[in-house]
Amino acid sequence: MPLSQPAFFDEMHSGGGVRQAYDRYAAWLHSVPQEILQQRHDQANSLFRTVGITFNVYGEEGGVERLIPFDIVPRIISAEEWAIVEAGVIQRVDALNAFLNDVYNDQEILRSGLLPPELVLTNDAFRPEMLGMRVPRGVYAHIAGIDIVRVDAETFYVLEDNARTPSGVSYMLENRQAMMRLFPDLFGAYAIAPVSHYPEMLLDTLRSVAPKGIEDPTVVLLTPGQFNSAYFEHAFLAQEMGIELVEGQDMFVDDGDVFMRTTRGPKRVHVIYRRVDDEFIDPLTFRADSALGVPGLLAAYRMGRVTLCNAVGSGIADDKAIYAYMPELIRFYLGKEPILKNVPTYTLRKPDDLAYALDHLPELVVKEVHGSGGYGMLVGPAASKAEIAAFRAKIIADPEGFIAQPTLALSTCPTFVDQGIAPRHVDLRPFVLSGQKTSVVPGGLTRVAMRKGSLVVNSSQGGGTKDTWVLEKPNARARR
Amino acid sequence: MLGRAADNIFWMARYVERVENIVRLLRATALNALLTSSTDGADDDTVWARPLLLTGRMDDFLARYEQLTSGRVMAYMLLDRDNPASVKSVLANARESARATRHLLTNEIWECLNKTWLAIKDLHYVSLQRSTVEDQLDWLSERCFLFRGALFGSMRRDEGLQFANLGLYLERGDHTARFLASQPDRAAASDDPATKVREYYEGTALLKALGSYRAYRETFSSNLDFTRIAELMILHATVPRSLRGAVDEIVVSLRSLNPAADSLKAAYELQYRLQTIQIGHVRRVGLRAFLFDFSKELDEISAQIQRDFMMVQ
Repeated sequence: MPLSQPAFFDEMHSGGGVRQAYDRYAAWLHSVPQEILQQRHDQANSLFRTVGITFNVYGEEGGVERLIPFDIVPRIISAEEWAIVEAGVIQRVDALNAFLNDVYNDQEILRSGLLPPELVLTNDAFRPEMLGMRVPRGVYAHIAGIDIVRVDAETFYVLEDNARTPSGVSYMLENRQAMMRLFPDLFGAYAIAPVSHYPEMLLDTLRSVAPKGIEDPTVVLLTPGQFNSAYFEHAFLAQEMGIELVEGQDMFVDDGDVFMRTTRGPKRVHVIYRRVDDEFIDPLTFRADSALGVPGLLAAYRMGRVTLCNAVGSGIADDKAIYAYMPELIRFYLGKEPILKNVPTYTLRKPDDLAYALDHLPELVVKEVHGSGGYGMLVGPAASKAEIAAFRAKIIADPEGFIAQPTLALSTCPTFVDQGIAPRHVDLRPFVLSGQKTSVVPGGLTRVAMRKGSLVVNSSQGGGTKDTWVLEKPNARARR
Repeated sequence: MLGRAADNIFWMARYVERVENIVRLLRATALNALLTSSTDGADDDTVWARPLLLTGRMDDFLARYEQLTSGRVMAYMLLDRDNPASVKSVLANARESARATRHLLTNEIWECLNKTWLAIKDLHYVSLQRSTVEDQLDWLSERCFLFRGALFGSMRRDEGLQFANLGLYLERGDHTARFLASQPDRAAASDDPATKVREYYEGTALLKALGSYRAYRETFSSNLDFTRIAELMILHATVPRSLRGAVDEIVVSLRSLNPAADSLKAAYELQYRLQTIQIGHVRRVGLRAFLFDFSKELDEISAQIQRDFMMVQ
């Protein structure tokens, strides 16, 4: 036993010596001079800037384009580890879809007593407009991003489910492109599972949920427009799939069918991969002031003339208050034990949980139930007394709006920073597609907190990304 | 293709062509200034006023600066974001149009525009010395050629390319017509040697601004003559920046987009007129009146294209 155990599990170094998946990479990394790494790092930056892989930051002057920090040290996952993650996220998404199909139709879960009905029925993300509607193949969350963190060699936790419009997949694809260009030799040394066929899988998924009777559906991607923070990703995916990138103003509804305005006249649309939130999608049903949506779209959707992906109302599944019940939901719908762990969650609407949380704020992470993107959360161990006191007041004012979780010891991964190579905390977001079947591309987006000691990986909070290498089993490469 | 996407591609190409025209204009102005400069080194106001008058920015310029100097005009026309006709502003528009429709563009086109924009974005006049202005203008003009190379070399022969072509040639026809119309009136040929020399240099600068100096030399084996320059730039189909050349391209693109389009009928009429008139006709009508009519018809074709292809709602 070493005298002192490091506080965090490190993806490359934990367990005495270099972990097996990293052996060749670590040898390479330790032999490369710092200047070369710096050079590659600069090269990566200029590559991303030229291609225009940028995101817009909320709250800043319109059209401010920023580069998301990209780290040149990959996160490597062995085939055995990936097998667990893959099975786990597929199981999770199957349960999410079963749950959505249930709450908008038969509502067995509400009658079963496993889930307090008011948690669903009074939830802002619940859409009564969807009640009693049968969506194609019973799939609601066609594209889901499951955020996973790891605390030791064996244990993976699901930190969050994203069932609305998860983003980041373009970084997964562009990061791989950049790494192949910067480090071709490493790709010779490792059998790394490819990810670049993701857009094809996505298009297959979207086509597979077309309205009944449509043989050759027209699929489009609906974007809020070029000032949206994820516009680059929208344009990228539309290009890769060879589909039109439309805005609300490009479409109209006529007699229940949806059309887009083309240079050759109106053209019928069958499947809409929408990256516009529920509230903005149809001014006749939701926010009347929305210029991003299409008047009458929800009616066309309910008539089954067009399919929306993800379905309206999917947000109820990734609500943080529902999250606490996910292990129960998996057992209820699939009759199986959850493969991935859930972080113990205190729902502060319960008096006991609230009392506990208020007593232990310095150890806990507290999140807004409807929050996302790392905004409006308290990381107890990193917060000052004043911050904790201010947050305590917010919680007491509205306990139902918050959940609390123990602070997890997120794993670290070596990362290239100003001081050289140093450990930084990471998470992982695999992208799960559900259509005819549920599948996931081997890899995902590894987000990394670039600040030392920080546990918040969101890009809006200064997080960066890494390429994620899932190693293939030796025989898998031989077969291809 | 979406009508809005067609509109964006059209404007992307139109803006890049506009950049090139401004660059040519500035280069010709600088050349002209050298030829006419007086010994005391003072700038010639009439020469430096030209780019401002042609782009309709004179009032705005005078409201902000008291005096017309070469440096101020150059800075204003190249790098001023508050001047919507500056190279930097127009390039920003071109890039925004491209960004709005980049999923339909090849990477070569997008990266060409994006790199050009990134290089010019943070360029300010302090970093632009008099000696390097020329280099900067040369570089910009090369980037415009590169853009066209990427456009015609990498885009699929389909709608998108046709809309880009329309934007390019509508802008070009419009610019050539307005540039010719902005020339000062000239008396009948003079025998005065000093006038002849001055006219020679002015003619040279004019042809260079329109990128057609060599074309003139190859077409006419005669001295520079303003009537011949007008003939070359209006009627000769083989000259890439002539009115006839621009209209021919517009017809080709519209025909391949939709042979029944109303905009094509209007373009055919304009083409027919340019094919059948002689330069004598232009002189009888008056060069300015003729060019004014031409610009108006081009505007109408442009508006009809927007209607024909649902580019505006």
